[in-house]
Amino acid sequence: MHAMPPQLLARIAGPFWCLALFLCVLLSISLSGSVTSAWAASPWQHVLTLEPAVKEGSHLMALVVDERSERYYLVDSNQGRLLSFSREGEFLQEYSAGNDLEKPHDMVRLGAGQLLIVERGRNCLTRIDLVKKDIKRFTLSFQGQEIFCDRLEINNDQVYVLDRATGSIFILDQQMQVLRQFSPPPGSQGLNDFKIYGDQLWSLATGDKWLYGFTAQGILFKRIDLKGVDLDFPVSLAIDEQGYFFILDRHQGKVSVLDDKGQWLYSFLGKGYDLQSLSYPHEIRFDPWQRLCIIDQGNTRVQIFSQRGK
Amino acid sequence: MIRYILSCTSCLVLLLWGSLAWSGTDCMSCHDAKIIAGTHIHAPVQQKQCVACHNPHVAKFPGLLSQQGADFCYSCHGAEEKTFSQGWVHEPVAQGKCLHCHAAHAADQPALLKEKIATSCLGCHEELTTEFQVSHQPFAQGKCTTCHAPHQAANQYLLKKSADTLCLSCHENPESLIGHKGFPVKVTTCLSCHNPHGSERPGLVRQNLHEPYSKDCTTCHNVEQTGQAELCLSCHAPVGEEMRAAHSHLLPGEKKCTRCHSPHASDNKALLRSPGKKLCQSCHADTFERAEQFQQHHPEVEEGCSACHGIHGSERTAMLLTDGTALCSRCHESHNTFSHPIGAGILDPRINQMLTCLTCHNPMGTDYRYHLKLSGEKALCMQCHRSY
Repeated sequence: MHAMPPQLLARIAGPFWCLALFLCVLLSISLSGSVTSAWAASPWQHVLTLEPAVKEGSHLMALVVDERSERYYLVDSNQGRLLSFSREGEFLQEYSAGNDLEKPHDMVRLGAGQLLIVERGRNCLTRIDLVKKDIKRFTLSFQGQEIFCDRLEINNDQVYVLDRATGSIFILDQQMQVLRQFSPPPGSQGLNDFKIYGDQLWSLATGDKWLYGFTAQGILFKRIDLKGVDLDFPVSLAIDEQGYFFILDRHQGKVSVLDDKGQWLYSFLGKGYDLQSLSYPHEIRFDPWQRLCIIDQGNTRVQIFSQRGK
Repeated sequence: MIRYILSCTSCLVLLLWGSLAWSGTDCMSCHDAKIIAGTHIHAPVQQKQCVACHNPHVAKFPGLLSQQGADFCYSCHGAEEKTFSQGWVHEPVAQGKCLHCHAAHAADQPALLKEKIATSCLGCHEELTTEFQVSHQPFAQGKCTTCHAPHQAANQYLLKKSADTLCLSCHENPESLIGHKGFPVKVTTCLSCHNPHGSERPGLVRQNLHEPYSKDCTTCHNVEQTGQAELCLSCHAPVGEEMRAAHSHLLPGEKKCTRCHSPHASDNKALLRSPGKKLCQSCHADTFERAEQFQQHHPEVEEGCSACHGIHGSERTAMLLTDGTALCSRCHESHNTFSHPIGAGILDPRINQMLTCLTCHNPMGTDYRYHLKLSGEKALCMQCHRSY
């Protein structure tokens, strides 16, 4: 076998070593964690956008997902309507209860053709029976003080409502009476969002920049300080199957991911208009198919992301 | 050439003949002694160690300084560096502008202050009223540092202690004072009623009084236990309507309305606890910090943040009072008609949403002129007009 001439070897090896060096630099940068930009670190890719056909005048406040019917529901506050979409993102229909919804703010499906809607304009919970075409409104109070209804969740047929006035979360019975209270710790500026994870309830305190974990009995069992995470205005949280926290920052338009102990892992997305960007996002949640859904309020759309490779 | 040789030689001779160290005496043989004159002299100057800061030959920075800004000062005053980054930090300190207040060589004021403390403070804080019918003694005497820390503090307004602790350190037993007799609750939160600098009213009571406060405390106090917001809204019902907007400033927690408003007296007509911008900053610090990083800012308007934002509630993102075009054209009237097409029916192709002034401009601050979000030369236009 003949040895390769040194000049030829140098000509071939030169570009190879340059390329190898470039790849090494890229690898070392990404491993060092100094680059945290969305594209470098995010395992999430955009898969779907839900948006009203005409955006003018719309203001999206909440997203509800019904696993059984495989539908997404968007709550449009300014237009006083609900919009439904298929799992594939196809617009299905809109519902406004005969134009009788005053600033709908959030919603849950109660089953048996019933919806429960927060009407911010009336400050009440409105139960709509779609089959019987019956509407019933409940003004809530607790210990003599009016509850200012904000976000809603449902779990095991129990309705959870966030009270904007006290910053507490209440579990309600069928008659919309308070069964249990989840209170923020003394001195807190109150809870601003919450999600139910198994038999735990996790809540986010925007002003304090804390995550609070409650047992089903309403006992505060864990606190996670978010002040070490680069967050300006955390407004919403979601929890994935592994128990990782996804914190949505309204002002930075990004999502920060923390492990179950509260250790920051990575951040992705950012402020803007394209598919990887958000403008004044309002709420984050996982759908039953483990896709991450974000209400991108400033861009009047819902952006849905799935994990790469899944 | 000969001039340079002589000049260099004169220094070198002095160096070798003298203390084998560059000394102030050598420098002052050329430089005017006035620059180091003063009753208080900076230690390196006193020790004639000009070279501690200046390089006699060449340097990167003006004044032949080897470094610039606060980092240079911290190279000796290291202990302060950590402290000065904690809590509420005075703006010049945060910006590393030590020489804004202090002289580098010598001064007639203690701590090498360029001017008397009050002159120095009021030189920047022009918004402060200085003439009052009734003045607080330390303020009248120009003793700002009686209450305020000049560099940093754990309390807002750079107060040395919490406001009440500070007041009570001089005004012990406030319950005994005539104005507090018969109070239905414990005397607390002094600044809720009193202006610590001065007032036109006796007892430094602030200028604008909440009506029940000026008549009968029991209008609000001692009434049947009720939520604070409900109590306030029982008189201020229209505010309640505003609070029922999609985005509301009804804040959770014990303090609601009183987080921003004083229930008793204020120097502001809306009974705000502090001037608008400062008040908003106390919660939205990140917004102000972000804005400060930009080169182009919208000029400040008299109404402050409430000129554009719905303070109690709004149906729009960023709690804007109205849509981006209507908002801006209240002042920029002509732009509504002559500019790039905007308004109903004109859509931003990126998001299929109505084009407004805020599509291209960000009045909170940008790095481009006219508060454009990107360069108006090309980058901004290309966002939509891609084929060009």
